Amino acid sequence: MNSKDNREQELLLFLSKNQDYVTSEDLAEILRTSQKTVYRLIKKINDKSQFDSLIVSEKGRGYKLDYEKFINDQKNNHSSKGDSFSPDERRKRIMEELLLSSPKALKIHQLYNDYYVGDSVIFSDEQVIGDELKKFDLILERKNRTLAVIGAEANIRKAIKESNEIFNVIDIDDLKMNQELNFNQYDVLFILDQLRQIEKDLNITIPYPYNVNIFSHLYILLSRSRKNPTFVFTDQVSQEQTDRMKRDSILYEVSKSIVHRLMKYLNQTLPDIEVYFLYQYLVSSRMQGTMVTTSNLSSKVVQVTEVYIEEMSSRIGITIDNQSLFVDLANHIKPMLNRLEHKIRVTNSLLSQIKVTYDELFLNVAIVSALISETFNLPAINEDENGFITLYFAKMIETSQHQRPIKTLIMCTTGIGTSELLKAKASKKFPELDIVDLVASRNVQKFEEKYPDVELILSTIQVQGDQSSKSLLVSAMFTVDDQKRLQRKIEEIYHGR
Amino acid sequence: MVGKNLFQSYFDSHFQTKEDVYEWIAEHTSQQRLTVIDQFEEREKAGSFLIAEHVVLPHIESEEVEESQIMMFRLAKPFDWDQESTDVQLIIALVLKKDEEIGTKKKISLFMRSLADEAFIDELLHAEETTFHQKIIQFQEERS
Repeated sequence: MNSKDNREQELLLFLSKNQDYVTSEDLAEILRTSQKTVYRLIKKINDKSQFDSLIVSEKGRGYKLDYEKFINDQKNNHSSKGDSFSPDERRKRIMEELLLSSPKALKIHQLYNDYYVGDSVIFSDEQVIGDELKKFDLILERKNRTLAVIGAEANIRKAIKESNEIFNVIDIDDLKMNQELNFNQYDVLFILDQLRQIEKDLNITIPYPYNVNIFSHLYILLSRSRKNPTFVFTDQVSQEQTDRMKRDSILYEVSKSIVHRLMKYLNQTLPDIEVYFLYQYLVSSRMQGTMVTTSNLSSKVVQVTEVYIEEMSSRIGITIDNQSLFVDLANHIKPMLNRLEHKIRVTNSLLSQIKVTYDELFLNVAIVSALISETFNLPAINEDENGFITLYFAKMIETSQHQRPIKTLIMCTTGIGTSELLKAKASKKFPELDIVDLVASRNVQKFEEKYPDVELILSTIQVQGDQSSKSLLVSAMFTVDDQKRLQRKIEEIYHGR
Repeated sequence: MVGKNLFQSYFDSHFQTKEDVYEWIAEHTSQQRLTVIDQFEEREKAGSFLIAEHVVLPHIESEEVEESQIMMFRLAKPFDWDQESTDVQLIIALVLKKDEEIGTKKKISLFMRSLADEAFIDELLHAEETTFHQKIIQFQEERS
């Protein structure tokens, strides 16, 4: 996806989040571009859409997204692929073909048979593809009107994965229905079956994006082996790495059995190194289920997680004292460190959405990630990874688990009349209250001693004499006004902590 | 009055002032009529009894009552309880015996919690006579 597409996407996302009209000035500022560009983008989006005005405008108010059309458009967009290819698509397909067959040389006229283009176009395609392949340390070799990709197997697979948009799906079940060419339905079903088998063997579930990641790894492995059964691995695995894998007997057995099934499916042998490759993907995936709870975290994982939490909490200005966030995040960090080490990249299809929705949080995570890479001497943590980490903090903030509940006493004359009523009403509306007890007013002193850490006393009666700042008088009606005052009191308490 | 039901319900009550109500309750629950009335008034000074629109919940804990009781009155004609609590149609009165046993207290708190449900209050405010009594009997039976 180039930056122009990104801008269109960003514009659509921003509008989809706003129910009201947005002026072009505001849009220009958000997209960090000129108003003119905004007009152009909107026109382009409307022209591209099958509906005449996906984005509607009104004089003096600005622009607004027709949400219903937008949703429909999104749905149809994927299925409406014509027979003609844009230059970009053509190059992608050629490159994929070359990558899958690497290191075999393919005849140029056969490669371009379907595209009806002249020599000059082919020549310029070669330049573009060659540049693209360079990013993966691969070389495009031209010899006697043939083309071939030369390089390490791991790099070839990485290039296939990165250049194929199909692997950007979020819901793995979408793959079953995908109508894209070049995609073998039998392979898809077979691989989905293997994924289920892995989940069953390990008694876990593999969530997005790791399921898609493993899927693409297996899919590429199948395609590669079929196109070029004799490809040779130049990659080496050290004895130490192999030993480490063998000690992890559970995952090792699973990847051995999956590779075995692949061999049967392909009816050909695969080198041992495939077991190691698949094993790396499994270790680098987050698994939900029994495995996670029993897995011990290494001290490095704990340290990295702690730095994330400490740095983020000082940056966003909230105290994070939350065990569940730590466990969640650490269980994400653990496979992430593995991914960094083995250069496995997971695509985050939600990235643009995360950036728009949690822009500040995302920026802070990026800063902390850079700091962590430096401190722990790790490879750079990319945007996709930062996007995932952002979600952990976003979730914590949105569910406001970052504040521990306020220990509260409820008081009335009897400790059973209006206080019971108030408890039912207040706990429904204010989940942040932890109501520890109901007390009769004459006992309040005693209860304050019993619960020294109580932070709030909600009372339906005016107490004479000892009136600590902790208490708040509300009516048994628990009116809107009472609720507002309680809300303020809660904020006061949070603030004073 | 030993062995009386914890829950009592009265339909078409002809109270016209809160003094009437206190007087009646005191008479039916205690030998020390004046003390009980006094306790209600003292409690009310500390905080209003209004718990929902048209509904008041006068309640006290007292050494002077022999049995804890919850008495529900649906009024024949609404009246103004005080300046803030106008047009009262339903009175739920609780007298709690001092040092009541825990079992009874639990029943009372269960009932009190149900009053937080606006739909339940609404039913009590609008039910026909038989349904009104049933709502409360049901409570007595189900929860005892």
